[in-house]
Amino acid sequence: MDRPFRPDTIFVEQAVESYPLTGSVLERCPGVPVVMVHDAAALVKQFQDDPPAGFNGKRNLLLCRNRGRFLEACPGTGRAYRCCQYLILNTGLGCPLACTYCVLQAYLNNPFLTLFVNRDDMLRELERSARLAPGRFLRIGTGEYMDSLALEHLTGFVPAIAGFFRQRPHLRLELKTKTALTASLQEHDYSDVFIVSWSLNAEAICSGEEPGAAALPERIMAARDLIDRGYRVGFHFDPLIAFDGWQEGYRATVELLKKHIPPERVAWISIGSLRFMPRLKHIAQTACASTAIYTGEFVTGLDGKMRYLQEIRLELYARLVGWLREYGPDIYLYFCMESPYVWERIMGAAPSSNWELKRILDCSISGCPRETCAENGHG
Amino acid sequence: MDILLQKVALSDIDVGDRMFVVTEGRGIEALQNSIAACGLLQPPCLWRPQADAAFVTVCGCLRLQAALNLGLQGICARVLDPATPRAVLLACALHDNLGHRVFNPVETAHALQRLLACLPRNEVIGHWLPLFGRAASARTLERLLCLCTLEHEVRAALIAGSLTEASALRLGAYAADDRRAVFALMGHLHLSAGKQAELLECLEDLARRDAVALREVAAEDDILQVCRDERRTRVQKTEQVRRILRLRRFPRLSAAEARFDAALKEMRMGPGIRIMPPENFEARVFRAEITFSSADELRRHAGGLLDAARRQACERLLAVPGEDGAGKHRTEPQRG
Repeated sequence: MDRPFRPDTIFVEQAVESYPLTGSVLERCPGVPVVMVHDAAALVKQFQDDPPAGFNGKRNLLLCRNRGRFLEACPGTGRAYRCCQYLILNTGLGCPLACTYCVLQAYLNNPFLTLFVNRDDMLRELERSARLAPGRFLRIGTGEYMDSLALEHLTGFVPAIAGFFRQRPHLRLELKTKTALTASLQEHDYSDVFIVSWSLNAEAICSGEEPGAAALPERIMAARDLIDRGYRVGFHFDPLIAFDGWQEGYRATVELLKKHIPPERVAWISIGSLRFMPRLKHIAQTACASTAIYTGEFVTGLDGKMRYLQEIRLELYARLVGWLREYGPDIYLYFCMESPYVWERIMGAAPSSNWELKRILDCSISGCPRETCAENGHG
Repeated sequence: MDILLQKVALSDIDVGDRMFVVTEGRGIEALQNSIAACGLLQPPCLWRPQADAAFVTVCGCLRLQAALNLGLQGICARVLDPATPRAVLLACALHDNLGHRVFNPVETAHALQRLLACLPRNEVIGHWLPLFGRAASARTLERLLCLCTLEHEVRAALIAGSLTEASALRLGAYAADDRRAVFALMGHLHLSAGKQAELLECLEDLARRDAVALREVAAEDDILQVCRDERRTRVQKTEQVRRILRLRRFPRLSAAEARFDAALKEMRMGPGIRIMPPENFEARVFRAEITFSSADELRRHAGGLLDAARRQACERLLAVPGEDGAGKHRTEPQRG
């Protein structure tokens, strides 16, 4: 993001008016009109059914309670594709960035950019979950329903939660972003608490399909800056898109990594190709008339989502994995939602199960040898 | 609201004034036969803005037309007070129909357009859309209003049912030249609702992918040639156009299918044995099916299947599309 996000209007559910996070968000948005609402769910329904002309949910922030679960399993789909058993921490819903491929366009039924301000409830739930799995390593991320850092300047999430995670070293939080908004990670050293990761793509995709996100070099320089401060970082080449010139495009991105990022500071790199629920295509093309990314050769996958024809995915992966191996032979590369067959063809072997993939990634963070981690309770 | 029942000469009615007529695309032959047999049982509703003006039809335009066609001189009609507001007259016209039939999409769109001219938008959305069996949302209103802008022949196809509402809305979003070209193509074909959606999506994808106008995709030489071929039926033209477009839209999937079919042919399996590829070549599970009616036949087919499996063509059949069997997808670092 060029500039930190500032909402046009803030809607506050009356019941959370006195919550500390509500106060601090409002304090950090001086001059932004505030509308008090009795019932957030009713407001969401009203705007979902019949949005006023010109309403842009991404510009309107809703502060409310999360009445559901904060922590949930990543909605990896189907048995046919390997999933890393990641846990998602729901700090809010929606994202100020406007990536044309974003699944949230079809997944969420809430048009507002929403922040859950009952943070104490979130910590209590995290604590409960941690106690239910004593000693078991849990990889948790906040970047599934929202960019992890895009609203950090409003929420102060990083300093607020760092102490909790520091006291529980078997919980590790991944902050996944497409921004360069790392100020709060620079102010203090949280390198023992957080893994910060960036979604990367070819320059043409970053500039054409990710409106509002930081430019590719900015992301990489932000990662470099945190590495210099002692952090380990991750990268996600997801979604790979088979556009005209993809080979040059992805090669150039790997070259940028090679130039600026020491591979030994990279915890992992995930790879996935564009996949989407069938209804996303229409929604995304309506929202962005110029995008052509949905005109690739997609077929219905084994989980009902649209995916590139397997031979196209194999080509994309073979090239990218080759370049990444050249860059950092020891970096753990993994596929997000790919079939064991594709794993075998590209990586030489497939994790025998989702749990094995989880175990390997857990070890990438904890630093224990992969052969022994099951004994150490990471399995 | 005063409504008087009175005799009116047909010559005093301006049947050309369709200000409140909400019926479109309905035939009158049966109605005409009914009036011829029993007379006009239900009096139409008329209105005139002032005492010396011609009557305007509010309800019963088809009855009036039928009466004219039958050569009647006068009819018994309900006449509304000249002071009746136009919104009320329009409501009368709509309620006269809404109670006993479903409006076609074009009638609905035109009715909404007229309602908007005399009622607040919120009332049209909240009160009237549900009466038409539609969701009470601004989005629904906007979508339906878009139908009013379509060319006469497109609206006629929608009323006739040969064009679905979804397809008409899609056509409505196109530039006029594109719409005309695509609609002309559709006119040559025999398309079910599903095939209309498939055709339009394919044309849109190709135009978007290749950054060309829809009309260019719809008027490619090979497509025009198929459409002009008088030896083909509409069903044959439809299948041929679908094949052409699919090949263009999914060249690699089509090539993979063609390779599979060629390898299958080379395996020379007789009748009674079928081999099917994984759906979309996504999974790695192939299926073989043997049809038999006796143990002897089963043995023969099973033997044939084993023979076929030993042929080199079987390797090609099972190869990953795009792979030559020599590990093309291995991941040694490669220069871009």
